[in-house]
Amino acid sequence: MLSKALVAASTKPMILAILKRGENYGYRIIQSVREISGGEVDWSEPMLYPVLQRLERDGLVNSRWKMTERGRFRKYYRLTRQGAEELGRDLAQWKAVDFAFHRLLDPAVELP
Amino acid sequence: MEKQTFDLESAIGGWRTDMRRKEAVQDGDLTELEGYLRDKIEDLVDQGIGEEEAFRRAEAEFRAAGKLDDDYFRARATRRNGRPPWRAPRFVPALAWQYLKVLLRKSRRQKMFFAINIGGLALGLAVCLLALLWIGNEAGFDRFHERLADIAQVYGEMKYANGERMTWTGSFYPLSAELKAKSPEVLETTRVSIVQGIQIRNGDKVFTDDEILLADPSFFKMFDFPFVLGSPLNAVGSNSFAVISERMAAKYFGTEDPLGKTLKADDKLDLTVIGVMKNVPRRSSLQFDCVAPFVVQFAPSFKEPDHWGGNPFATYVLLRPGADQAAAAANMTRFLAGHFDPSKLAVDFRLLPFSRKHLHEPDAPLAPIMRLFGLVAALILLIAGINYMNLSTARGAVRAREAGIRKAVGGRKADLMKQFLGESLVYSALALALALGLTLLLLPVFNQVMGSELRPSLIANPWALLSALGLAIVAALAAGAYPAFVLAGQEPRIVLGARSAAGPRGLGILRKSLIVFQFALACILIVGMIILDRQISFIKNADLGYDRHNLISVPLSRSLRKNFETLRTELLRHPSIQSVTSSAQNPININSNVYDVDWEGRNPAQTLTMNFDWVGFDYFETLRIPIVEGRPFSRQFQADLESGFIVNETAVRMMGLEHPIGRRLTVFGSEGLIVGVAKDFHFEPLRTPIKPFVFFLNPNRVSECFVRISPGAEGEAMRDVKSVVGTLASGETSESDILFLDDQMMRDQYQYEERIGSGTRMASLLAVLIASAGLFGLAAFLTERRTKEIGIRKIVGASESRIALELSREFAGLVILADLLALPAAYFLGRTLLGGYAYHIPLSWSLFALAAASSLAIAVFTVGFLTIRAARRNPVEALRYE
Repeated sequence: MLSKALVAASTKPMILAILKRGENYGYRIIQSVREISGGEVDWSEPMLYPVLQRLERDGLVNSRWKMTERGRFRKYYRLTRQGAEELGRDLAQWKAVDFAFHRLLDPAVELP
Repeated sequence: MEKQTFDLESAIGGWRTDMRRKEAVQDGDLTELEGYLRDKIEDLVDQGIGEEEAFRRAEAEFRAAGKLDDDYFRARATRRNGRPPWRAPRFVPALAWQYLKVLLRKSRRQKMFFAINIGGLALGLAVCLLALLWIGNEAGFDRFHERLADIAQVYGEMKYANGERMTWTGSFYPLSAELKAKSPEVLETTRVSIVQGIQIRNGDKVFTDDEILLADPSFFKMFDFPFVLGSPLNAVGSNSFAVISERMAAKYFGTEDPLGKTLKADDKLDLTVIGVMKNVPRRSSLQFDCVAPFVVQFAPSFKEPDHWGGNPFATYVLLRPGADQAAAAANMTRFLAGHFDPSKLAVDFRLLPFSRKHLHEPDAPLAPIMRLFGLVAALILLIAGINYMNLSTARGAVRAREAGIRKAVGGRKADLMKQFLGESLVYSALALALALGLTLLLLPVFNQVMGSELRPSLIANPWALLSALGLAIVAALAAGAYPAFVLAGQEPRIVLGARSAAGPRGLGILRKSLIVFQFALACILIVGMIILDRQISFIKNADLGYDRHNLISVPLSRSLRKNFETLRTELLRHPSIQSVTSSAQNPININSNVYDVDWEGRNPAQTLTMNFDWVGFDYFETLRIPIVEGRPFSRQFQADLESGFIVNETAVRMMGLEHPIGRRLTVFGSEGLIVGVAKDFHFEPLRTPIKPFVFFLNPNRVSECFVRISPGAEGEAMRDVKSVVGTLASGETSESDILFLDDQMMRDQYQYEERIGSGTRMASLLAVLIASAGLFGLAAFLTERRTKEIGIRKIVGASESRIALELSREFAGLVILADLLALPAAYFLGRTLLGGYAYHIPLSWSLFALAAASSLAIAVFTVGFLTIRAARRNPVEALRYE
C-alpha cells in the first residue's frame, strides 16, 4: 500500500494519465487504477470525487453527463489541453525521480 | 414478527437523505456519488454477495463522509485551507474566557481543595527544586581548573601484615619527588597541606585565623588560582614565598602594595609576598587564604624527612593528558613497593581524580547523601503529584455533568480536552510560581540544616527553572489526563446519566492504590527518621568509656603550649574548674597509628598496629578514663616521661598478655614498660570498633588542653576559661575555638549524621504533611458526596460513632495496608542506615510499630475530624443539601 503522502502526491497525475486514454467516469477510474497497479494503489474511494471536482475547477479536465442504457446518469470526465500539458510536466517530474532511484540502486554508478 | 426484507431502493433512499444533510455536497455531486454507490453494489452482487451485504459494504465507504464534505468544500473554495462555515473555529475567544471563568468560579467555591492541590504541589516542587539546586551546586565544585581532568590525588590502601586494611588519604614526604622522577604518566606533582592557627604578623596587624596552604611551587602549574599581582615563577626555588588572596592582602596591607613585603609566621619565620591571587572561589574543594612553601614546616633547616612513614597531607599529580589513571596507579604501586617492609605493610596506591574529590572523598563521601536526598525529594514530589492527581480526578469525575452538557450543546472532544488540560496547566503554573517563592523562603532553613551556602540567585539558573517547569508540566499532564481523555471521550448520554453524574461514591481502585503507595512512602520516611533520631541520640548519650560531658577543650597556641603550667595553675584557681590536662590529639578522633610495635613474648609471626597519642599529666583523671590495672601517669614517677606506656584493654588482649604491668614494650623503636591498663574507650566515631591503643607521656608534644568543670557550672566555667586564655595569650586563640567537648564532637564527628538526620526529619515531616493534606482533601470530598446518605442513615437510627467509624474505616484500612507493604522496605532501609555503625541501636520491631502507628494515627486524626463533623450534622440539614 502506498503511504498517505505518496497517494496525495500521485492522485492527480494518475487521474490525468487515465483520462489521457479517453473519456471515463469515476467508478471506472478507481477500478482501473487498482487493477493496473496490481492492487497496490487503492484510493479511499469516494474521496476521488472531490479531487475530480477540483481538477475540473482548475481547468485540467472537463465533464459532461451521459445517460446509460439502464437510465442512470453518469458524469464522464475528459482531459483538457491544459490538463495534458500539466500531465506532461508531472510525468517529467516523476520520471526524474524514477531516474534518480535507478541510478541510486545501480551498483555501477558511483556516488560523488 | 415477520422478518423485514431488505429493499435496496429504500436503503439507497435513506443513504441519499443522509448525504443531503452534508453542506457542501450538491445535487450533482450526490447523483455522481449515487452512481458510484450503485456501480459498487452491482459489482459486489456480480461477485455473488447478497444485496444487503453489498449495500452495507458500499455504504461503509461513506462513513468518513464528514471529511468528504470538507473535501468538496475545499475543492470549490477559492481560498486554500479555508474553514467550512459549519465547522467550529479552532479558537473561540469567548469560550476561552468562559473556561477561565469556570476555573475561577470552581476554585473560589472549593477553596480548601484548591489550597491543598496547589499548595501541596508547590511544596513538592519546592523541595525538588532545593534538592536540584543543592546537587547542582555540589556537583559544580572545582570546575574552574583548566587541567581538571588530568589532576589526581594519590592515596593508598594500606594492607597490614595482620590482615587489617585501611584507606589512607595522607601521604609520604618523598612520594612526590619519586613520582615525578619515575612515573612515565606523571608530568608534575605537588604536596598540599592546609594548616590553621598559624599566627601571621605584619607589624601590629596580627591574626591567627588565616588558612595557609603549604605547597610546592609546582602547585601553580597544576591548579588555576589566577594572580592579580606578581608571578608564580618567583616561587620556584624559594623557601619563604607567600602568595596571598586579595582578601588577605587587604587585611594585612590595606591599600599598600603588598609585593615584596614580609609577613612573619609564628614570630619566627619571614615570608615574602611574591603574589596576590584572586580570592579562592566558593566552589573550590581547596579553601585557603595564602600559599606558602611546603618546606616551611621544616624551617629553619628546611631538611625534609626522607622516611616513608605516613603523614597527614596530600600529594597531587598532573598526568599526561589521556593517561590511563588505573594503569598509572598500578604502575606506582609496583615501583614504590620497595619502600615498604613487606613483612609489615604493603601499600596499594590509588588515584582519586580531582574532579571527584568533592563528592567522592574516600573518608566522607558526599555522593551517597546527595543520592539519598535526590531520591527523597523525588519521593516527596511523587507524593505531592499523587495528591494532585487524586484530588483532580476525584473532582474531575464530578465534572462529568459539565462535560456532558458541553458535549450536548456542541462541544467537541478536542475542546473539552483543551479545557481540562488547560485548567490543569493553569493550576500547575500557579503551583510553580508558588514553588519558586517557597524555595526562596526555605533556602535559609535548608542552608542551615545542610551546612550549605546556596544563594538565592541560584534559582535564576536556567537549568533549575527548566527542570522545575518540566516537573510542573508533567504533574499537570498526569493530573489533567483523566478528565481530559476519559470524560471528554464519553458519550454525553453516559456522562449525563444519573449514576455517574453524582460523581464517585467510593475511592476507586486507582485512587486507592495511589493512597496506599503514598502512605507506604511516608511510612518508610518515618521509619528512617525514627531510626536516625534514635541513633543520633544514642551516639550523643553513648558511654564512650570516658566522661565527655562537662569538659572544655582549648586548642593550645604556641605561647600557651610553652606556658602550660601557668595556664593550668591559673585555671585551677577557679572553683568551677576541677582539673586540667593536655594531649596531642582530641580524644573524639585519634587516628594516628603505629605499626612498629614489639613486646615481650611476641610471637615473631604476629604484628600489631596501634593507635597512639601523647598526653600530659592528669589525663586519665581529667577525662575519667578508668585505669583497670596498674596506675595512671604520675609526676611522682619521672621515669614515665622516658619509658612509661599505658595501653588499652584491647591492646592487652591482642598482645596476648596475661599480666601486662611491668612488661617491656617497644614502640617507634623506643623501649619502655607498661605501667597501666586503661579501660577501653571510643577514640573514633562509633562507626568503627575499638582498636588497640598506646599512650605516651609527653607534655611537650601536646596541642590541646582539656578542662574538667564542676557539673552545673557550665556558663561560669566557660567564662573563666575564656578569660584566663584571653589574659595569657591575647589574640592567639579565637574564643570560638574554646568549646564543650560534647558540642565539638557533634559538630566534628557526627555532622554527617546530623545533616542526614535533620534532612530526613524535614523530608519526612513534609512527606507526611503533604500526604495527609491529600487524604484530608479526598476524605472531605467523599464525605460531602455522601451527605445525603449520612442523613438518611441517621434518620433510620445509625449512631454518630457508627457513621464516623463507617466513614473512616476505608481510609484506615488503606493506611494499614500501606504500613504493611512499607515494612520490608523500611526494614531494609534501617539495616542500611545502621550498617555503617559498629555500635548502633537494635533494630527492634517497636521502631516499625511506632512508625506504622504514627502514620495510622495521623490518617485517623485527619479523616476522623471530618467524619465526626459529618456524622454530627443535623440530618435535616444534610437532606436539604443540593
